[in-house]
Amino acid sequence: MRATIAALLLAAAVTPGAVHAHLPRSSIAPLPAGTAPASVQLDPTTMSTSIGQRFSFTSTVRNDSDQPKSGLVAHLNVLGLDPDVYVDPEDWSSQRTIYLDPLPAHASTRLAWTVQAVNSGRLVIYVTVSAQQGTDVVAASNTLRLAVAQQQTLDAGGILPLAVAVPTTLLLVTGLTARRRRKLR
Amino acid sequence: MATVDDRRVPVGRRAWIVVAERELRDLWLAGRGLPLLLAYALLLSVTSYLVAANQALNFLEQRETVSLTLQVAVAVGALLVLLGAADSVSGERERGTLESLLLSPAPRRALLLGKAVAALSLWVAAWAISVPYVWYLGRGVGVVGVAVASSLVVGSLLALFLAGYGVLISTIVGSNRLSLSVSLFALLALYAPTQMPTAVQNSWIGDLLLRIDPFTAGPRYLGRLIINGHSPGQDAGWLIGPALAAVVAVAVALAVADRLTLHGGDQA
Repeated sequence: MRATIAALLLAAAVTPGAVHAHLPRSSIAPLPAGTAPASVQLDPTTMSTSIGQRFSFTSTVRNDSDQPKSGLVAHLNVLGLDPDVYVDPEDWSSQRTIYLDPLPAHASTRLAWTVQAVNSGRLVIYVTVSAQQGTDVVAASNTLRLAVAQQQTLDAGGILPLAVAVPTTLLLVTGLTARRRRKLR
Repeated sequence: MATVDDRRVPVGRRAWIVVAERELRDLWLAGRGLPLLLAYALLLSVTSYLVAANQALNFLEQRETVSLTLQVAVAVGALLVLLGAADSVSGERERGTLESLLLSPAPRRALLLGKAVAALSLWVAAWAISVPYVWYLGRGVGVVGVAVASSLVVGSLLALFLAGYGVLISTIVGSNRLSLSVSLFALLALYAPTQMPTAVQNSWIGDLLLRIDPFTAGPRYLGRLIINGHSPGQDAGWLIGPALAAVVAVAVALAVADRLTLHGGDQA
C-alpha cells in the first residue's frame, strides 16, 4: 500500500500537469510538449537591396490545429552566409519580437517586419514562433534570401579637401589674431 | 582680456549693446573664441570624413549622414555656448574684473544680456562653420536647405537655453570652477534620456521625457525633417520643449540679474 502511494506521488510530481496546476490557468490550455506551436511562412522569399536601405516583408503565422492557441511569440533572426561578415541582428531591427494575440483554430495572422540592411553580402532572414507555455518545439519559417549590395553613397576623397581646409583656415585666422594682439601690446 | 579701466560702460547708447560689443571683442580678438571654434571645426572634419569614408559607418543612408553630422554640430555648438556663458560672470569674479563692471552705470540686466549675446555668438559662428560640411554631405539628396534652416532654428533654441542657464549659474555661484562643473553636469544629465532602453522610450512617460528634454527633442525634430522628409510643421510639437526651455532659462537669468553681486553665492 505504501509503495502504491509513493508511486502515485512520484507520478504526480513528474507529470507536467502537476506543475501547471500551480500556475494560473488561462482559458486556453497550454500546448502539449512535442507539438509545433504554429506554422510560419515568409513573403517574399528572395529580395535584393543595397546597404543602408530599409525594407519590409511579412510573415504569416497559422494555427493548423483544431484548438485555439495563445501565448505565441514570433522572433525575427538574421544570419550571414558569408563567414567573414559579422551580423548583429539587433542592428537590423530594434523590434524583433512580437507577442501574438490568441489565435483561433485554423486561423492565421500576418506580421509586418521592417528592417534596415546594415551588412552587405548574402544573408538569410527567418522568423521563429514559440509558445510561452507547453511545447518545447520552435517552429521556423522558410527563409527570405537576401542579397545586399555594397553602396558607397559619398565620395570620401571629395570631402578631404573640405575637412582639411576649414580647420586650416581657422588655424590661420587664430594665428593672425594672436600675432596682431602681440603687436598691439 | 580687458583691463579694469576698459570695463566701464558709457551711458548714452543702450547699455547692453555696449556690453555685448566689448564682450564680443574680448571673446573673438583676445579670448578663446577662435581656439574653441578651431576644435569644433576639427571635430566636424573628423565626423564628416568618417561618415563619408568609413565602411562601418557608410551603411548610413545619405540623409542619415547629414542628420548625424548636424546633430553633432548642434550639440557641440550648444556646448560652446554653455562654456562661454558659464564663464561669463564667475570668470570676471576670478579675474578680478567684475568690480569695475558693477560700478558702471549700466543696469545689471544689461550686463548679463550683453554677456549672453557674446556667448550666443559662439553658436552663430559654429553654425556658419557647419554649413559647408552639411552642403557637401547633403548635396544630391535635396536636404541642404532644410538641414541648414532647421539646424539654425533648433541650434538657436538650444543655444538660447544654455546661454540663459549658463549665465544664471555663473551669476549665483561663487567660483568659476563650480559654475562650469554644475553647467556641464546639467548638460550631461540632459543627454541621459537618449540612453534609455527602447521600451522605456516608447512608453508614454518616456515619450513625454523625450519631448520635454530640449536635448532629445531638438535632435529628434532634426531627424524627422531630414531622414523622414517630414514638413517643418508636421513635427513642430517636438520644438515645444526646446522653445519653453529657452524662454524659461533666459527669463530666470534676467530675473535674478538684480542678485548679481561681487562675490556671488554664499559669499555675498
